[in-house]
Amino acid sequence: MGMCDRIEIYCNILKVNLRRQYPWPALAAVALLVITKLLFNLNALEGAAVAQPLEMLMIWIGPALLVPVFLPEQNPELRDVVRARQTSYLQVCVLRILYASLTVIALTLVFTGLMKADESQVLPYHVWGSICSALLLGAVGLAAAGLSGNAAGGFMVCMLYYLASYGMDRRLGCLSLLSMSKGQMSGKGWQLLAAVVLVLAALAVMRRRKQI
Amino acid sequence: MLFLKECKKVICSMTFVLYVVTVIAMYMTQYGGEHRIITEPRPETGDYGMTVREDPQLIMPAAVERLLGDYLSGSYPAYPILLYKNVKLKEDKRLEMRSLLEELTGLSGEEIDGFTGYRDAGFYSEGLDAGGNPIVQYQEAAVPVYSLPENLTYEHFCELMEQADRIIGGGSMYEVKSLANNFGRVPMTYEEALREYESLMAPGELGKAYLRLHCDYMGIDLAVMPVFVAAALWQLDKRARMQSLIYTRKSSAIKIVGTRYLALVSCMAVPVLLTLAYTVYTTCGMYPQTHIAWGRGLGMALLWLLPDILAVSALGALLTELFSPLLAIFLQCVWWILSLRGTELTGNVARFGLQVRHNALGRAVLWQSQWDNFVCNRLALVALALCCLALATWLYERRRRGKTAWTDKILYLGKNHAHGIMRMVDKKAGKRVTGDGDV
Repeated sequence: MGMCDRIEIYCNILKVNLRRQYPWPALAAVALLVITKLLFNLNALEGAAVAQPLEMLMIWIGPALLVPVFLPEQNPELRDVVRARQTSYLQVCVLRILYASLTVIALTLVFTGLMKADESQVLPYHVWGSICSALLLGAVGLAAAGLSGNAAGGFMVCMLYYLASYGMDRRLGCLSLLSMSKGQMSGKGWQLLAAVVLVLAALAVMRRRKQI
Repeated sequence: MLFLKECKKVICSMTFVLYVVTVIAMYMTQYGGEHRIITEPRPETGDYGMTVREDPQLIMPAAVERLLGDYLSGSYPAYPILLYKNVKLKEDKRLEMRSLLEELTGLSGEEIDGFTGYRDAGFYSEGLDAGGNPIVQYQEAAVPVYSLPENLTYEHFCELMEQADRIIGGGSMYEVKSLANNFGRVPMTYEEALREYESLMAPGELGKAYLRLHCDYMGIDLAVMPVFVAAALWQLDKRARMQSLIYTRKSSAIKIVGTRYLALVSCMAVPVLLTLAYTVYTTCGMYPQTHIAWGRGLGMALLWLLPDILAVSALGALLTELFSPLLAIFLQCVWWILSLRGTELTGNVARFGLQVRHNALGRAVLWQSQWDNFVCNRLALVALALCCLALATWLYERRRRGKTAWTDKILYLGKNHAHGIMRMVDKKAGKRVTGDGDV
């Protein structure tokens, strides 16, 4: 199969997934953005206060977009049918993870742009930290949903991690999701690394268990 | 038999295990740290804690002084969703706040803005003593001299405070419902402390005090966690593609849905009942000489916590039946966050709403004054649960007769979702696709 054919197949898969798999998670993420804007006063925030809307609510766009990655093929029989196709199901999942991650970045940029328009002092680190935390929370949910074959369980594990960050902030160290809200402006890079490792490990285990 | 099968399905699910973990974690981390023994106040100590008085003569000057101080410092503390936030106002909002202060203090805008000697109340160093140690003394806030307008009524004052809270963005100290809590605090007298103690030690009240605090913390958890378990259980048939098989069974929809719901609620109630039993056990250990009557307290605890499980599970089941499990989880989480934001920690139980809070071991009299609202709130949740369950059963019955819900068309964009993605890929690849998804 030539390169052009491959690209055409991936473009087709992308188009179909954007039409079929993407709309509801994307809508949920946008709804989260709107709810965060409505719930928090974003006027002239500075320091740790800037991080609060980002870390308390906006990071949930990560789970909203990443947890449903395996949802369309959650039924084992359907998954077997999908796995039997020439294009690897793993590649389809990677494609979904990529566009979901890009959406996380785009929505965080939009939201921080709104905050800036409201005269809040958003620093580049706030944007970076928020994206890293959203991706980590999403990766935790994706791994849990993928390994258990249960999207609701994926969200529940996300909720547990979030509550643990709330209650055991210090013990989690650089993996605390709410660190910027408590004035710590470093260590978010580790969260991105953890997110990448978690996704790769989950995909590897699922591949080994012939789930994908 | 069906009930036991459903119970087994619930207990073996990952979401239920996680639910048990969160219930225990919430209990250990939140309520576990609150085990303090209530002791009788002694007249010689002089410190009996604080009490709240809804006294306009107390509240109005304190609130205005604080608002003026916040304005001069340029920052307003607020707790929009549990966490502290320091709000800075934009220029138009600042001017709006200044005009409010002009009305409250009688000062002109120029006089307020021209004041440069603002200092927050607190402890300040006043030089060194003979030994070279710093002398630290408490200083009152330094604000411009003003007096409240004589014709200012408490009703109009509350309207102005409501405006101030709106300008700040909500959740500030000036919310009308929190004014007494924030500005009506005064030291408790010995007599008041003794009355409070006696009201707590009255028959049946001691156990209730600990169970109230227990329910306050566990209620936060139970207002959201059951939806995960309910949504996961309700989608099992769909996932396992067992609908067609179940739909043709003799059992009625009421029996299937009712049994499943009962199993769900029973299983989720077990860890909650166990934590309640542990609270009773630890409290008895704290008061070995006192006979604690637990009957009414346990009744109150069940009335507090079970409607949470009933309503959240039923709503989760209905939304999963109607839309999808993920949408059910999303909507319940939104309701939970909004209710956390809108509920006061103590003393104000809403007649309708998801959460009831009473985050205090004492204040029994205040709780008793809210009892009617509490009962109304919990019964409303039970009614909501029954309505959701009836609707879910009706939808289930419709599906059994082969009628799809209108929401399916919205969710799956008018197509069969399960095969949709791969069918589209096949179509693009130029393959012929049948109506069943075969290529």
